[in-house]
Amino acid sequence: MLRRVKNLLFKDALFAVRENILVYSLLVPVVLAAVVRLVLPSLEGMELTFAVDHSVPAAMVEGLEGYGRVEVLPDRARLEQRVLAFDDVPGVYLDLDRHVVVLEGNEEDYVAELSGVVIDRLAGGPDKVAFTVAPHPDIESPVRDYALIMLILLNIIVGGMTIGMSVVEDRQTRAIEALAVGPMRFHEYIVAKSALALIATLALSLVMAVIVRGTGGLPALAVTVIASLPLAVFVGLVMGYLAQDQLAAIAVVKVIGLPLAAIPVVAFFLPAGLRWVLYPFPNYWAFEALRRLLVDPSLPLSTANLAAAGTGLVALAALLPAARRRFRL
Amino acid sequence: MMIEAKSLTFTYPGAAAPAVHDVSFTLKPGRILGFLGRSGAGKTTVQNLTIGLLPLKQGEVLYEGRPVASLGRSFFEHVGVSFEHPNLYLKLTGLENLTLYGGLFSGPSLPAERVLEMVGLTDARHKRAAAYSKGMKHRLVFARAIMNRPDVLFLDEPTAGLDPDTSRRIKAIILEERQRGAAIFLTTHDMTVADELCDQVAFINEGRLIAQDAPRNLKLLYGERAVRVEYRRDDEVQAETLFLDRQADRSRFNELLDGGSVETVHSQEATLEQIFIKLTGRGLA
Amino acid sequence: MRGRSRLSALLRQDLLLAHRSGLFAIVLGLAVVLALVVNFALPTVIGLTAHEYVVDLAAGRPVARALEAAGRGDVLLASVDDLKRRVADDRSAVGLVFRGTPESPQVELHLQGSEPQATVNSLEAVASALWNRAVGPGPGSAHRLVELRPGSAKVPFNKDFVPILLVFEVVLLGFMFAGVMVFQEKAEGSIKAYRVSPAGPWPYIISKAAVNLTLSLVYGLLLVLFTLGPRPALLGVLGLVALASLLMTLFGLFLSSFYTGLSDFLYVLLLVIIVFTLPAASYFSPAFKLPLSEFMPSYPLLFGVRELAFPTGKTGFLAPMVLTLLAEIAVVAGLARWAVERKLLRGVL
Repeated sequence: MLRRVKNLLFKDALFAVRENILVYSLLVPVVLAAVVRLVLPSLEGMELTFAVDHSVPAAMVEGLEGYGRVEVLPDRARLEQRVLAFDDVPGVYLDLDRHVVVLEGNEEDYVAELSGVVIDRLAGGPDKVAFTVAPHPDIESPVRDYALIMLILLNIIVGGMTIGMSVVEDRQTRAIEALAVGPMRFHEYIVAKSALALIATLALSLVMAVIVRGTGGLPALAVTVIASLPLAVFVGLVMGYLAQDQLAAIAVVKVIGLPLAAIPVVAFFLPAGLRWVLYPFPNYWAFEALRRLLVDPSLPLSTANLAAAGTGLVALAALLPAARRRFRL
Repeated sequence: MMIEAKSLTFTYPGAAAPAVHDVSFTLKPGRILGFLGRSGAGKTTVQNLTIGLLPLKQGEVLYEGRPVASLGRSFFEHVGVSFEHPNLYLKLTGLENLTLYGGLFSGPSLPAERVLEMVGLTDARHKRAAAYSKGMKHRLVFARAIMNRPDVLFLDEPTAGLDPDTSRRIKAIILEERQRGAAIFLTTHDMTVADELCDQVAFINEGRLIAQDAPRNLKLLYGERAVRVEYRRDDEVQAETLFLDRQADRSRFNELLDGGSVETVHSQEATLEQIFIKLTGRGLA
Repeated sequence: MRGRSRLSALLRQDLLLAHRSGLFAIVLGLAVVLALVVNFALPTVIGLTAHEYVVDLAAGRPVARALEAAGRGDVLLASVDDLKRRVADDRSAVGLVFRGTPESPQVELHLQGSEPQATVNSLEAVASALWNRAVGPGPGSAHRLVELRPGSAKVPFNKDFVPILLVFEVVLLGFMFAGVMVFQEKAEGSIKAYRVSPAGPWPYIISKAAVNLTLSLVYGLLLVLFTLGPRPALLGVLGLVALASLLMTLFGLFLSSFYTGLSDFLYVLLLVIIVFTLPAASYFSPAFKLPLSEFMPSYPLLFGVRELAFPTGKTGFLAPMVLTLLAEIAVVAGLARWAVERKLLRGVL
C-alpha cells in the first residue's frame, strides 16, 4: 500500500514542481501573511481623520493630532470637498471664534458625536475630570488575531482546493480510469492526493502565525490546525466529486466558497444564543477553535478541536461512498 | 496554389538538438505529399511549422510565392487541419462543433450535416463529443478539417487507431479531396497509407529528410529483388525473405531448393518500410 | 459582415459552453441564496465600534441618571467587578468608572490594553462630555455642527451589504471564469483548432468578455432586484458594475494567458481577489482607510456603487470614475490582445 501511495504522491509532487504550483503554494500564503503584518498597525489603531483648514489655530491642530490624523487643506472649498469624499472625515474650521464641525450628513453617529466632543474638550481649557487607567495586561489587539484566523482558514480551504484540483486533473485526463483498473484502493488514493497538501497547509499555517504574531503558542496552534484538516480533505473531495473539468471546478469553488467564507463571518456577528445553527458545519468549528485558541482562551479549546475534527470526519464519511462509486476505485 | 517550404529548422525550448533540421518540400494542387517516419521523427513539427502553429525562426514557408507570415490570419481561410489528437469542444455535439467552427470562415463551407454524413457520423450528430468513441472523435476532427473546402489540407495521422472500415472511408475522402484539387500534406507512420495515397513520400528520421520521391521510384531506387520462400523443417513451416541481388541470399535460395522441402515461392516487391529500414537502420514502429 | 458572422459564431459557441457548464444556473442559484441572506439573515443594525460599559460610583450618580433618562441604561453595570468581567470577556469593550464629586470628578478607564493613545484620548473626551452633560449646564458647546447634505438617510446594514456583493461577487465573476475558459480550451486542445482558423485574437477576446459580462449582468440584476427592488437608480448601478466586470474579465484573460491551468493559476487568482477585496474594511468603517486603498480600483467602485444605489446627493464623482474605468478597460484590452496573440495563438502551447 505504501508503495502505491508513495508513487502517486511522487507523481503529484513532480507535477507541482514542474507547473510551479509548489512555488506559488508556498509563496502566496507567506506574501499574504507579510501583507497583513504590514497593514496591521493601520488596522489595529483605527483612528479618526480630521480635515482642517488654515483658519484653525496651530494649538488646536496639535491637540487634534492627539485624537487621530489631521489633514491640513488650503481653503474652505477644499475642506468641504474632502469632507464629501467617500470616507468619513469630519472637517473643522474656525468661524468668528467658534469652531465649526463640518459633516457630510451620512457619517456613522460616533463620528459626528466624537468630533464634537473632541473639539469641545480641546477648546474648553483644562479638563476638570481626573483620569486614571486601571491596571491591565498588555495584550495584542484582537484585530491581529482575527486577521490570522482568517488567513489560516483561507490556508485550510486553499489546501482543500489543491487536493480538489489534483483529483479534477485526474478525472479530466482520465488518468483515474487507469488507476481504477490497477491495484490502487480508494483510501490509498485519498491519502496520496491529500498528504502533501495537508502537510503544506499545516506548515504554512505555522509560518503565517510566526509572521503575524510571533513564535508563541505554536504547538497548540498545530494541534488546532490538524483538527481542522478533515475540512480540507472534504473540500477537495467535494470538488473532485462534482467537477470533471476545470470550468466545472471553478464553478464548484464559486458555489462552495459562499458557505465556506460566510459561515465564519456569520459566526462573528451571530448572537451566542443562535450559534447552535452553525454547529453542524466543520468550518464553523475550525473558526471557533482558532478563536478560542487566539482570542478567547477562557472557553474550552479541546471541545472545539474535537468538534472541528468530528464534523469534518462526519462530512467526509458521508461523501466517501459516493466518491468511491464515482471514481470507481 | 502551392506551398513551398525551404530549409525548415526548429529546436524546441530547452532541447539540446533541433527537432527538425533543414527540411524542404513543395505541396502542389491535386497532389498528396506524405511524411513517413517513426514516432518522434519530426513529422508533426514540420506540419506545425508549415501551418504556423510553431514560430518559424529558421527557414521559410511560401504560399503562392508569398511568405505565410505576411498573409496574417487570412491564410487560414484556405487551410484545413486534422490533428492527430482530437481537440473538440467536448460539451458541444458533433453538429454544433462543426456548425460553429464553420462560422469562423468567410468563404462557403460544406453544410455540417453533409460532412457528418461523409464521415459516417449522421446518427451521432446530436450526441456530445464527450460521448464519442476515439474513432468517432477522429472522424469529427477530420470532418472539421474539410468543411471549408480548403486549398491545402494538413492531415496528421488521419487513419491512426481507426478500424478498417472507417479507415477505408477516410482514405476515400482524402482521394476525393485530391481529385478536387487540394494540396494535401499527410503525416503517417503507416507505410500502407503512404503507399496507397501518396503521390510523393518523404522519409524523415531524427528531424532530417533522408529521401523524397514517388513511392514507386523509391522502391525501384532502393528496393531489391526478393523472394519469400516457405519450407518445412521438423514438421514446422518456416519462412524466409531472400534478396536475389545478394550472393549469400542466392546461395541460401539454391540450398533451400536443393533441399526439396520448399512449399511456396513468392516474389516480393520492396515495401516502403523495408526501404525505410534500409535507409535508417530501424523500422517505422 | 465577415467579422460579425465570425464573432456571432464564437459568441454562440461560448454561450452554449457556459450554459452547458452550468454557469448560468450557478449565478441564478447564487443570486437567490445571497438575496435570502441579505433579506433574512443579515441584521439591519450592527455595531462595529467598541462599546462602553459604565459604573457610576460618583456622589449622586449623575451619569447613571442621565444615561437612564436618555434610554441608555443598558450600558450601566452595578459593580466594578461586573465591569471588569465584561471587559475581560469582550475584546471590543471598554469600561468607565465614575467616582468623586461634581467639583472633583474622577474616571477610571478599564481598557483591553491594545488601544492606541488616540483611542484612549477619545475615550477620555467622551467620558468628560458624559460627565459635563450629566452634572448640569456647564460651558456651552465650543462648536457648531454643519451638515453639507442634511437628510442623508442611513442605510440598513443588510441593504448596505449589497454593494459589497456587487463589487466582490459580481465584478470578480468574469475574472475567475474567463481565465478558466481559456484553461479548459488549452486542456481540451480546442485552442489549437482556433489557432488554425482565420479568426484572430479580437473575436476571441470579445466573445469571452461578452459571455462573462452577460453572466455578471444576470447575476447583478437578479441580486439587485431581489434585495433592493426595482428602481431607476439601479440602471446606473448595473452600468457601473458592467464596466467594472468588463475590466476584470479582460484582466483575467490577460493574466490567465501566462498560466497552463487552474492548478497554478489558483494562487494568483486568490491573491488578486484578496487584494481587490481589501477596501471592504474601509467600507464598513469609512472613518478608517487602508493605506494605498485609493489606488485599488475596487475602493472608488465600492463607494460609487453605494452612492448610486443609495443616493446622498453626491455629484461629480460618476463621470471621472466612468472615464477612469473606460481608460483602464482600453489599456487592459490592449494587454489582453497582446497576451492572447502571443501566448495562445502563437508559440509553443
